Amino acid sequence: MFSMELKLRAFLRRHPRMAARIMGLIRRSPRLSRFCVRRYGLRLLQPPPAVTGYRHPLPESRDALTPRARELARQLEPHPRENA
Amino acid sequence: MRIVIDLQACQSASRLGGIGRYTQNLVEALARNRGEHELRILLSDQFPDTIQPLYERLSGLLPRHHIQVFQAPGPVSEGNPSNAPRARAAELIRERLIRGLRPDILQIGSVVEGLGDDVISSIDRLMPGRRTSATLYDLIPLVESDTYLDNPVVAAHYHRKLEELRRAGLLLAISEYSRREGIQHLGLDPERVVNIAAGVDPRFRPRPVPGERAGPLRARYGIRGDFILYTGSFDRRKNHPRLIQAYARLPRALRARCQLVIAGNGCDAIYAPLHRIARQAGLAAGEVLFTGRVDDEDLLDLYNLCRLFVFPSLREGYGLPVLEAMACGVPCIASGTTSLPEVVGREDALFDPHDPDSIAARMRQVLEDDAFARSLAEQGRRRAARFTWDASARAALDAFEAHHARTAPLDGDDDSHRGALLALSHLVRRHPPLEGEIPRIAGALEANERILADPDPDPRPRRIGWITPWNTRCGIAMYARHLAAPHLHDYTVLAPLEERPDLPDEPNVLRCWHPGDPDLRGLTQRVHDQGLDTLLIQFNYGLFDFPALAAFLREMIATGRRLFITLHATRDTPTRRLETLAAPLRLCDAVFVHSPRDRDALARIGVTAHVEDFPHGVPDTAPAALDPGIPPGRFVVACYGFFLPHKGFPELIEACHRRLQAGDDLHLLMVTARYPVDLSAELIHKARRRIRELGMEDRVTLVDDFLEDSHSLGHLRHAHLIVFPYQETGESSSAAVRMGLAADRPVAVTPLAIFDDVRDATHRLPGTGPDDLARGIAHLRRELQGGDPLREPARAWVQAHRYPALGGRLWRRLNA
Repeated sequence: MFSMELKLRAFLRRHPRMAARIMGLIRRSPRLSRFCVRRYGLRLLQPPPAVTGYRHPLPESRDALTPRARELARQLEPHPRENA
Repeated sequence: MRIVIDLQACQSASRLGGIGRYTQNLVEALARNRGEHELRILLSDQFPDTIQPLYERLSGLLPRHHIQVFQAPGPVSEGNPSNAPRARAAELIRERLIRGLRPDILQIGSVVEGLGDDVISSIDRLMPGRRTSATLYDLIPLVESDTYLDNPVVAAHYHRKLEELRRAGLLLAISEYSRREGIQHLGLDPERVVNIAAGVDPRFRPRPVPGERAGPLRARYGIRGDFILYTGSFDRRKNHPRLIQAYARLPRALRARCQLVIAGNGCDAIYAPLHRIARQAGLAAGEVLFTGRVDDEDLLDLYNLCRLFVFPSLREGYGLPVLEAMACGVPCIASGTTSLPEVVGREDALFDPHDPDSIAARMRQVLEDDAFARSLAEQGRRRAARFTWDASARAALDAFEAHHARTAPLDGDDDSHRGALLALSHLVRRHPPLEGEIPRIAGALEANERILADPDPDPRPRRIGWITPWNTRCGIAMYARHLAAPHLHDYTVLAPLEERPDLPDEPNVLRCWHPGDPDLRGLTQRVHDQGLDTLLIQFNYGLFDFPALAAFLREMIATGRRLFITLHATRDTPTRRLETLAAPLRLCDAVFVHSPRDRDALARIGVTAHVEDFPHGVPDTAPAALDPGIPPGRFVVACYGFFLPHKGFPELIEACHRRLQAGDDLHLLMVTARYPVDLSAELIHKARRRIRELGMEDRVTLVDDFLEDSHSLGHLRHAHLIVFPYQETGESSSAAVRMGLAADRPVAVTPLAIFDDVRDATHRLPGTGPDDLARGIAHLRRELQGGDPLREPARAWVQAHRYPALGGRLWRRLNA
C-alpha cells in the first residue's frame, strides 16, 4: 500500500498539472477530501475561501474600470486600440 | 530611516510554523525598538482573513495607518505552473508600490515562499536590491537537494528564489550557522550577511502546572508519568526514526517510568511507519506517543512537565524549540550539528544524531544523573535569557543603519511607474493569456496608487475629509456645521447627493454619495482624488448601508487613512446591527460617542479601545428680538425640536391641557419645525386638530417653520420653562436640549438616557406620559417661583460646551 502511495506521489511530483487536476477532483468530493485530510494531513485540499478581499475587489472587466485604470490598461495593451 | 517591512510571512501558511513566529516576534520587537525610525508594514490582500488579526496585534505598537494592504491579481501560487505569468506580473505590481513608498530599507520577512500559496516575493525588479534586506533562515533544500528538490517544479521555484536572495543588499541570518551557510553556498559577501539570532517569547518560562490542568493534559495525550519530549515537524531531517531507536535502547525499567512524547502536526500516514519502527525496535504500544498538533498553552505545559527535552534534528537553521524548552528550565540535549551547538552552548549536552547509541547514552545520562540534569536545566535557563527578541531587533536596526550608511540612496527621480508599465506590457506580449487579465492588473496598479506614501504630511495641517450630511435640515448636519465653523474652509466636506440643499454649498463641499448606497467605491475615489489622509465620519443608522460602510472603512484602513467616526446612535434596528461594523471600528483612531450608553453598546460588540467622549455643543448665537404674541402673565411652557414621533409633543399638548383644566394660567409655545418628510407634516396636522378639539387654540403657539438658531432662541427666551418631553428613542444625545440651555431658561427633560449628559444642568420630569409631564410641570412651576436652583450649573455647563471651543478641540484632535 505504502509503495503504491510513494509511486503515486513521485508521479504527481513529475506532473504538477495532473496533480492540480486531481486536487480539484478531491476538493469536490467531501468524503475523499475528509479521508485525505485524516490520512495525509493535506491542508491544501481544503476548499479555498470565497474571494472576498479585505479591500474592494479588483475589476474583472474593462467596463468596470475607472478612468485612471482605463488609462493604465491602455498602456498595457499589446495592440493599442487607438481606433477602438 | 523609513523601513518598510513586507509581512506576508505572517499571512501565508508559514504563519503557522517557525518562519511566521520568527517574523511576527521580530517585527513586534522592531516596533518597540524603532526609536526615530519610521516603520511601515505591508500586507497582501491575497490573505484577507489574516489582515484584521494582524492589524489588531500590531496597531498597539505602531500607528495603525502605517500598516497598509497592497493588491495584485491572483492566484499566483507557483505549485500550479500556469500561474507563473500572473506571478511575474504581481511581482512587478508589488515592487512598483514599494518603490513609490520611497523606503530607505525594504525588509522581507521570507523570500522563499509562493509555491503552495499566493505569496508575492521578488527582489530588484523595480525596488533596487541594494536597499532590500531579507531574512535568511536556512539553505537546507539546497544542501540536501536530493531529498528536497527532486520535483522539478519545486526545484525551479526554489532556485529562482535563491536568485532573488542573492540580489538582496543585506541578509539577516537567524544564526551564525545560517550566516556561514549563506556565505558558503550562495557566495555572498560576508559583509552583507549579519547574524541577528532569535529570541524566545517571554511566555516560555518555568511555571507550575497544577493538578487540575496536568491531569486532563496527561489523559488527553495518554501520558502516564514522566516523559521525554520532542517537538517539531515531521520532515525527514527531524530524525524521528533514530530517536525512537535510541529510546528503545534505554533500559526497560527507565522506559517503564518515562514515555517518549512526540508533538507535532502529523497524520496517520506519517505515524504508521514510525509505529512500525517502534515495534521493530521492541517497544510496546504506548511507550511512544504522538500528540498531533498542540496549542500554545498545552505546549507550554508539556515543556514544563517533561523530564527531558531532546532535539535530534539532523539539520536546522536555528532550532527555536530548544531555546523555548531551555527557557522553561527543562534539561535539554540536542544534536551536535549545524546551528544547534550555538543555541545549546555546551558540549556535554550534544550527541551525534546519526548514531542512536549516542542519543541513547545522552538521554540515559540525564535521566539517571540528577546533578547533571539540574546543571543542564539551570545553565539552559540562564543561556536562554540572553536570547531576546529585543536584542535581535536592535541587531537588525544596527545592520539597517550600517547598510544604509554605506549604500547609495535611491534616485530622487522615480521612473519605476514607467518601468512597471513597460515591463508589464512586455509580459503581456510574451504571455497572451495575460491579456485577459489586463483589467485586474490595471485595477491593482490603481488600487495601490491609493495607498498613501506619506500618511503623516509634514508640515501639518492634515488634509481632512468630513463625511456628513451638510446644509440639510437635520440635527447631524447642524452639529457638523457648528463644529466645522472655526476651520470651515480647511475641511473637505463629502456630502450626500442632494438636489436642493437648504443652504448653498460652499466651494469645499463635494456631493458624491447617496444615503444607503450599497457601493461606496465612488466615495473612495473622491477621497483619493482629493488626497485626503484623515476622515471624520458622522454615523447614523439611516445614512449608510452597513456592509458598504464596512467595506469603505476597510479600504480606508488598508490605504493608510486615519479614521474618526462620531456615533450619533448605537441602538440596532431590525435590519441594521452595529456589530457588522465592529471589526473596522476597532481600528479607527477614535470613535466619538455622546453618552455612557454608547460606550456600553460598543463594549458589547468588543469595541473598547479608542472610544472617546465628544459631546454635543451649544450654539454661540445671540437671540433675535421678536415677540411671539403671548398675552402677559401666563406661565409659558416651551418645547423645541423637529416634529417627529419620538419627541413627545402630542403628549405635552395633553399634559398642558390637564394643567389648564386644573386652573393653571399656562401657554404652550411649540417651536417645532417640520422635518422634510411626510410623516412630520402629518403629525403637525394631527397636533393642530387635537389642539382645536381640546379648545386650546388661544393657549398654544405652534411655529413649524425651520428657523435660524437666532430666531429659535428669540422664541425660547420668552419661556418660563422649556420642556423636552422625549419618548423612548435610539438617539445618543439631543442637540435640541442644548438649544434650550442656550436660551438661558430652566429646562426640564423626561427621565431617559439620551439626557444623561445634561443631567447636572436640567430638571428631571417624573415620566414620559401626559400625567407625568403634567405633574412635573406643576411641581416645577411652584419650585421655580423662588428662582431656578440650576441656573448657575446650567450656565457653567453651557460655557464649557460652546461650539467654538468644541470645534477647536476637534481640529486639534484630528491634527494630532
